[in-house]
Amino acid sequence: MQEQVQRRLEIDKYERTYLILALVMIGVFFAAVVAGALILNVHTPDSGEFVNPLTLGQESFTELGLFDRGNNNYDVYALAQMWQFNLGPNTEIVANHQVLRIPLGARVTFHVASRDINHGFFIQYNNINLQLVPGHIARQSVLFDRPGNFWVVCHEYCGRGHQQMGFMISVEEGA
Amino acid sequence: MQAVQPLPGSGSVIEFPALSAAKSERWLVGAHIIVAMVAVVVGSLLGPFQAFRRAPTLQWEIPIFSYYYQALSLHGVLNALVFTTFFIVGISYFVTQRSLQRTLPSPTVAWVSFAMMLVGLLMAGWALISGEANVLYTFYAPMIAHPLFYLGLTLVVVGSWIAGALIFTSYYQWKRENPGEAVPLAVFGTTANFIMWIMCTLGVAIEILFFLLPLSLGWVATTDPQVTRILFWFMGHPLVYFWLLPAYVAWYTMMPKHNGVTLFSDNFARIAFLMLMIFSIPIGVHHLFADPGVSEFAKIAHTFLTFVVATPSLLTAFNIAATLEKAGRKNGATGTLGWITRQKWNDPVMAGLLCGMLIFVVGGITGMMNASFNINIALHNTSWVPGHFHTTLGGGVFLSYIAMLYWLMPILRGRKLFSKEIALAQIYTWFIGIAVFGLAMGRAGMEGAPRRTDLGAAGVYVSSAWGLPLNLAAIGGFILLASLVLLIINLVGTMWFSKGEPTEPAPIETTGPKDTLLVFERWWLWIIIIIVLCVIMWGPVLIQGLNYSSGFWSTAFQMR
Repeated sequence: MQEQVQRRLEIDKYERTYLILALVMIGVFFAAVVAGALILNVHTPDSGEFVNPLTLGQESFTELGLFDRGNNNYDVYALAQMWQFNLGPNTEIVANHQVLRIPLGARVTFHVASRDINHGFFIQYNNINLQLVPGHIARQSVLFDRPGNFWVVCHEYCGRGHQQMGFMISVEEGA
Repeated sequence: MQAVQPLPGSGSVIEFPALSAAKSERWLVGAHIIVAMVAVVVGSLLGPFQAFRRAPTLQWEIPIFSYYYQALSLHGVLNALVFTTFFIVGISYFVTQRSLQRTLPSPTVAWVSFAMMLVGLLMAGWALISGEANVLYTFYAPMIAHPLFYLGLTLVVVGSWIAGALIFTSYYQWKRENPGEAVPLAVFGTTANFIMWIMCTLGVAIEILFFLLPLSLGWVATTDPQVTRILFWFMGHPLVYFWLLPAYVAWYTMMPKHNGVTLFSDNFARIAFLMLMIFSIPIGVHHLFADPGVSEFAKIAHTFLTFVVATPSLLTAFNIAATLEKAGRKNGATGTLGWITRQKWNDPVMAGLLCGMLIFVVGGITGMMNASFNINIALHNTSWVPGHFHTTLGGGVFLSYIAMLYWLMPILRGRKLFSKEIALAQIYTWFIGIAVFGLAMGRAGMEGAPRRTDLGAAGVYVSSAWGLPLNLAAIGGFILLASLVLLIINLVGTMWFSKGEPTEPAPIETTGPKDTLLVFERWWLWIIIIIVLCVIMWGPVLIQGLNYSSGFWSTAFQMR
């Protein structure tokens, strides 16, 4: 006995409602992400310039540390290597770690590059999260509008001393 | 039943016994499952000790592997690459043979594939255990491991390609003999999984053969780390779907069978599998949101498709919940929500699937948070990320695989499960352990605790805000360790000590529903769509990431 079968796509009415709601939800989520970038100015690291990791400090990144550009704008140039961050020769050392003092209300652009392998550059409680890929300059800006001490840690595994790689940013009134 | 004459050399059409294994299954499937389980037991044993190491009040040394990152490399490679690949190949052989009621086209080729994977595992395993491959499972250049590590992983992947080819051949031959019929859903999902897997692993194959292996052998002196990261993550996201789709096969095809009901919508299950297959590759930049060599536009575009790929999982949630409701009502449930309590919560197989589904909801939601590219700035490479993927791979996927193991192992071994009570306790302790661990790691991540870092040895920075969640993660580790011991008892018990015949039949459907659309099986069309999407979504990323103006600059660093 040959039964004639009908092959067709049927959607249950609850499933249709659910699907529409799910798509609306996804649309809202995506709109929120785009709004975050366009309105709130939250950006991922630039697709910045290429840089030769072997000549960092000689041909590029020759001056490291915090630079005042006026109008509360600052630049920080830093290098990463196994297993420390290099913030320049004048960096203050407190206890066993480096401290970078940043004035409250400063808008700081970080320019960081790696001299050897992949590292990370993450500032606790502030929107800086960089993957330091050798050959590229990682760049991101943030407004320091809360005073306090924040750890900066290397978040990408970079060998035996990875867990030693960090320093502190101290955001202070009138620093 | 049609009288069909199998094509020569195409595997034979046989009837499989319900409560025992056919000759074509016992050793072949069994060998894959045994290697998978040995890998996951060793790999998972290392896990809790990392949580103990990172907990401020414990800070224990990792036993045997005193070096944190060696243990972490083993944990990742054994669990995420070895356990998964061997288990998936084994279960896929079983599902394909049983669903299509035919043996694989060539057992010899299947054994060759197994031998390649095993030799590969031994090579990579040697490199890891001897400390020559402390590069974690992502092995980012220019960190370099011993050449055998890369060769080993290549063999595992190529072996799995051969397995995929055998499954495709079986399917093709079945189709030739059953024209106009829809393939059973389990084989549909398995086919989608292997198409995706073979296409995506081309990225990592290029990475290993043209970048890492020559660098490791000293044939070239320098490399481009950004390009290798791009190639790795071309594979890296579909990799997680490669783990997930067999779990979805279990939810969509085995869960209804365990309950004696039919799936709510077979057509929408196929749509979900196709969407997962098509959209899992062109979204991998969401792992590269913090990378300097990828444009923000590409990051937003991949965010969009990442949200699109959430759709099939949302469809799955509806389809599975509706099927569970049917099952609950069949068991006498009344009211709107009565079907939830009328599930087989005291049956290890169903408990495993249900707990897997529940914890996967957490994994799915946290996944969408990771994928939101500006939230990712707060979360990338923090403990949040392992918190997330322990609820997906370590929770939803692992529990679904173990649920399958609890009926599969007795059938393959010819003995009943050693202890149903221990199995139930194992499932629930694992569920609780993962929930605690995932929550704790997520919290620590929000406070800025980095992932993959030996915090027990961190001399410079340790934030007091991480203390509570990292201690809680260690408690999760204790619970998971207890659960693992229960699993080992059942594995050893079922292998050698249990008495009596298997009781749980293999939950495999051999026919597709009559209303299923055949258009879903136009695989070449889907493959072309994947290729086009990959060129659009990955082409510009690769071109932009390539440092073609000045060549490759980065020198290799041996990780010992």
